[in-house]
Amino acid sequence: MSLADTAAVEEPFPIFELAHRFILYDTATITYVRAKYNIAGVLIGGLPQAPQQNVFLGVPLELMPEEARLLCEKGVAHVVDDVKAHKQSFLGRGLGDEERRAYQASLRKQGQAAAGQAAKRTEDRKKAGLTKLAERGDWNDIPEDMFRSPRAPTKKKVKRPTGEVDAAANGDAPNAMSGDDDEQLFAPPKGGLLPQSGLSRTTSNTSVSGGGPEPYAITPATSYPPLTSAPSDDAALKLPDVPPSYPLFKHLHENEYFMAPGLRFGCQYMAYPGDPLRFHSHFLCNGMDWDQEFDLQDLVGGGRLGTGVKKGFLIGGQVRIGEADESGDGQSATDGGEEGVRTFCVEWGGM
Amino acid sequence: MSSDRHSRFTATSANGRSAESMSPFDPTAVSSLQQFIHANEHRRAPNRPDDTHHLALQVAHSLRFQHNWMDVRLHYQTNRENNGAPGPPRPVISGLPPQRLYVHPDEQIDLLQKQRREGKAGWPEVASEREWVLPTQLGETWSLRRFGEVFDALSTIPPEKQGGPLNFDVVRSSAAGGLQENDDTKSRVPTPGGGPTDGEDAVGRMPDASSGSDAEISGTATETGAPNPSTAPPNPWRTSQPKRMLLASADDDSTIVYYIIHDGLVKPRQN
Repeated sequence: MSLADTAAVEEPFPIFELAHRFILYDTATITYVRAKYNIAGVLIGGLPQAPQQNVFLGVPLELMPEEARLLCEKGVAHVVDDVKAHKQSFLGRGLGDEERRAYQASLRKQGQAAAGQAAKRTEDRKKAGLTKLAERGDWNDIPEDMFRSPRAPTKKKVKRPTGEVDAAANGDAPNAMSGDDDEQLFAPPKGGLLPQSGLSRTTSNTSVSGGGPEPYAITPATSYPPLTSAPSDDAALKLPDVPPSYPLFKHLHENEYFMAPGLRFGCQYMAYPGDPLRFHSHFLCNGMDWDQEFDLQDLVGGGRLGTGVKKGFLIGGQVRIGEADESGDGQSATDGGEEGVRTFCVEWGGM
Repeated sequence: MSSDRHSRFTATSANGRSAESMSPFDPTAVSSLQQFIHANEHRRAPNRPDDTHHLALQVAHSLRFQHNWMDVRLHYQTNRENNGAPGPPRPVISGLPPQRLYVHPDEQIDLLQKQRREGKAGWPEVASEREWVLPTQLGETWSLRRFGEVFDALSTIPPEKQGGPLNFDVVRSSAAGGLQENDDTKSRVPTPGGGPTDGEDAVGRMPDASSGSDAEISGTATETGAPNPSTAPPNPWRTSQPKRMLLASADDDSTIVYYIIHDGLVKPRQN
């Protein structure tokens, strides 16, 4: 997926801070950040199709504090305190009544469209099944009901009480389609699931004027169509806190490496020379202060580990000129000047 | 004599006797490593500590006799200080490994492609390259700054014929097995002094002619038939890559582990 294909994301885009984690919910932003800024992140959401595993996960994407800080420093993103934003807008007077109604209407429209599509799909499948049966089977084998077109299921249930997921309603819903049991399982749930967003407090009755199936209830993946996030003035002050390895992170990032958390190998980051889906990582990275003392044993251990898994063990940090002649040129540990970071790669000597 | 400090770095000798053990045959016998250290005391630059000197000698001994390195030299100064940079904070060793020690992965690909173009199979003969070795002890603590200082003091390629050659003849003549290298006067540098003799004489006979770091004295052993890299032009892969050195780390049980450290970002080899 080339950069040109990704949906344009407006910069500065928001990074949502929730419980000390930096999260992106929107797939467009996630793809954009990966394609343009070498930031892969870690997916942490469960997949609805396969909930009982965590090998494959979905949105949202969690960013390391270093990644969030890097994006904020570049000015392409800003951090939003998610809890505060939601409380203000939904519980307080942030979102006006007009907006709420408009948003609910748009959700309902989306739901209708989705339900219509699902119904059409089942219809098509039925037709295909019928034609197949008709071609090779005996006409007498086909039950009578199949020949009748399905009655609009909505003529039975119009007003539904709010706040209820009526599973029983599904069962005795007007099933003109008394076809195979299989079909029944795949029929759209009539009651649907309630929307998860806070908007459901004032949900209107999902009344459906006749014709057309009952709309699905849409769970929006992000609250930010109704909410707007603009970078506040104090966003510049509030850069995420990062560990002292940040200069090394920034240096490697600027050299086009993708960084992933290195917990699996007992180091701080793993550096990939390109997209993690295409390459194996090259380095296990430990960033540290220029004057920080470490045991040589740890260096040797890192070298052994790295060589064992075909990676280099990399240590590095922001160069600091001796205390005596620090001339205030900004070479401190937090200044991630690219030319100021020096790295050393360790691998086994083979002898 | 700093024998106490010796005991921290002394290895057991090739024939299993150590200075501390009470051999029933000769209680005053000294291990070959210890003899070697004695024979090379004079190589220490003035006002430099004994322990790093002896550690360097221990590593040099291992390089020469365990790993068959050639032309092992000890450097208290490198020619970098001509530019005003300070010398290395501790003595470094340079030497020639028997086979090439490090091949960059891109160079490996290049060589294999060249082989294929020429219709040959397998790995070509590559000349060995001279390497720097930094002797350390495994219990030490280091910092990035100190590694930076060491690298700043090293040149990209260790120079030939510089630094203090070490007297290895001591060990050779006293080793029980009797190594078959009697030919070691045949070095690239013509010797003003005599040839190898046994240990005691050699100590006295090695004149410290010049400032000590550039003395061209016999003792640099060259095996006949080894490739002579000094005449070849420097490998472009070597000069275009970041500097590298071998970190030799001696443990208390006298094992020495060797790790290559690059001064920069160098992708790992596919071992």
